[in-house]
Amino acid sequence: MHALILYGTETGNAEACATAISEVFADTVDTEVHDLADMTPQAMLEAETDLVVFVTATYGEGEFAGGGATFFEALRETKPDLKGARFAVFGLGDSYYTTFNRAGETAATMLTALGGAQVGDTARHDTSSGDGPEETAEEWARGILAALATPVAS
Amino acid sequence: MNKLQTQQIEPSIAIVGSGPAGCYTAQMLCKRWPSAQIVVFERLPVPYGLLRYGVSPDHQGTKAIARQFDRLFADGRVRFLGNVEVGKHVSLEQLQEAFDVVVLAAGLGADRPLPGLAGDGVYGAGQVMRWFNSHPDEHSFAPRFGATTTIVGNGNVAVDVLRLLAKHPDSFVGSDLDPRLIESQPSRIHVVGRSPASAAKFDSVMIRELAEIDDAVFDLDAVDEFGHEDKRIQAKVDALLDLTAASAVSSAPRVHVSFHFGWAPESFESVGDGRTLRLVDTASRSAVKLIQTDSVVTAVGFDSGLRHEIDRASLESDVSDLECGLLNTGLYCTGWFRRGPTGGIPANRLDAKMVCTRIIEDVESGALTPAKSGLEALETHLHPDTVDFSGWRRIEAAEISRTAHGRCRTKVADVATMLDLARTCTQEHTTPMGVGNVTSDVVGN
Repeated sequence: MHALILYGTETGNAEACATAISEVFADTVDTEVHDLADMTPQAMLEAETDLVVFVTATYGEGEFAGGGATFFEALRETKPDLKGARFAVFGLGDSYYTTFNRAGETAATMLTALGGAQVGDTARHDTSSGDGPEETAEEWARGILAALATPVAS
Repeated sequence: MNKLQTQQIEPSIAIVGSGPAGCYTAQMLCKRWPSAQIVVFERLPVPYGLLRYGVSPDHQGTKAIARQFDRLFADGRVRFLGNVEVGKHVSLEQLQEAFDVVVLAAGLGADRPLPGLAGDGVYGAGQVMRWFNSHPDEHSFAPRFGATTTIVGNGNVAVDVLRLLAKHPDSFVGSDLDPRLIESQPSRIHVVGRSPASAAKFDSVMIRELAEIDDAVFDLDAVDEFGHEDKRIQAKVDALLDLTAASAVSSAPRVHVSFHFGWAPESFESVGDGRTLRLVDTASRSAVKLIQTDSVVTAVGFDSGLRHEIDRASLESDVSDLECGLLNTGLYCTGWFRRGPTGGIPANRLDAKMVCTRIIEDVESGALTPAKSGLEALETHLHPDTVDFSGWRRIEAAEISRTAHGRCRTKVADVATMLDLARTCTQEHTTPMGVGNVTSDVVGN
């Protein structure tokens, strides 16, 4: 099994989470970690991966952090058919702001609307909670692995 | 074979400064060379520079970026060496003799002064923010804002100062702001910027945040309201309009804040009993506005080099390529030290990334041959009072254990106490169990 782990970051928290997730996956899944700034929807589809994990922070007034902005704008414009594709979303945000984790939610909504099937729940890490983002990502990743092992009821 | 090659190529690396620029550099180089010796030197006994002393105390989410770096230091991949000032305790030459790669990331800037504004009652916003953050250097700094203060500048730092002065003292639960620092807040605050509202540098989210101060009234003199094609500009203008419209209904506010866009300060003079800030309209240069104010906070950016132990210009050489952070063979710079005092944490992360790319290229191309043993070669030059990461952890444990007033920590604000706490080796092991717990046992029973 192969997974693409894509992150959009301003301050490196999402990148650190992407790395943490890939380390949890390492025993059972081959992973590749990329910055969304170096990725296009086209390249993502051509990778023919079994799972795409989006790790995205929320920036400014609910926008995608870092390379996420361009990637999801491209996705919005090109509207590729994602039927049969599986994805998971780990969102990072700060509950101090009203736009808390909006980017992660927007990502999940967009990918579902294009036909993708979400694995597990959208994680909503809260940097104001005092929980370490990487520890939270590791726990979430174990949950995703468990969900992958369970046949999807459809 | 492969392993041998890897070992040969890993350089010893010293990074000067443990703020975001330095720590991102350590993080990225560590990713490339996991077993290289990487040491981050810090002038203070405590790490993280801007995260600890520049980011506002009520923005704990931003300060939490430090947790990335905690992991780096905690598992020993990168070493922290605090209370070592390069240029004073050890020379840059000594550092370069000991390490293959030296990266300078100590670029804290001084507040840029404004012509015509100086003397009593005029404070730089950078210094004010360090003071609000209990920086040991600002221990004796005692700004008196008075009943009316005026903040000059329209960047995010200006809004940080505004928010800390305008928020209700009870609304700092969860922050690490020392409550004594907000015992006397002004009831009247002016914010002056030379640009029109649409060109103000603050982010809209910073203005949205002000709307949560529900016992304050905000107003503004003029806004170039509509038709901004740039979404970010329109968002900023909308946030300002929402802020001022929402607060119009509140009566008897605790604090009244007025934004003045398109005005530049000319002078700050004593007139009779009070003091007057004289503003000139930046468009026509003819209209004048006078503001009665007890104090002025200048938040108009930074100049390079608050401290001058290391002067970048004198380190440049024939091989310098500042665009990618190269100063001389084996000597690099990043962050504000490299490009001057502009840009926030994300910009410094990208800066570190770029400089690391150059360092890696130089080592892999053979332009730089790793040969130096690192810390070992420097040890005889170091004084005994250095603070390592476990020393910092002891300081931090003491801070986190003190949560009076709903604070997430109470910062230690002086170097002597920091050093005491760092030195205290945990001797609890020798204390009989329960001795320290008498009170809680009684309560528990």
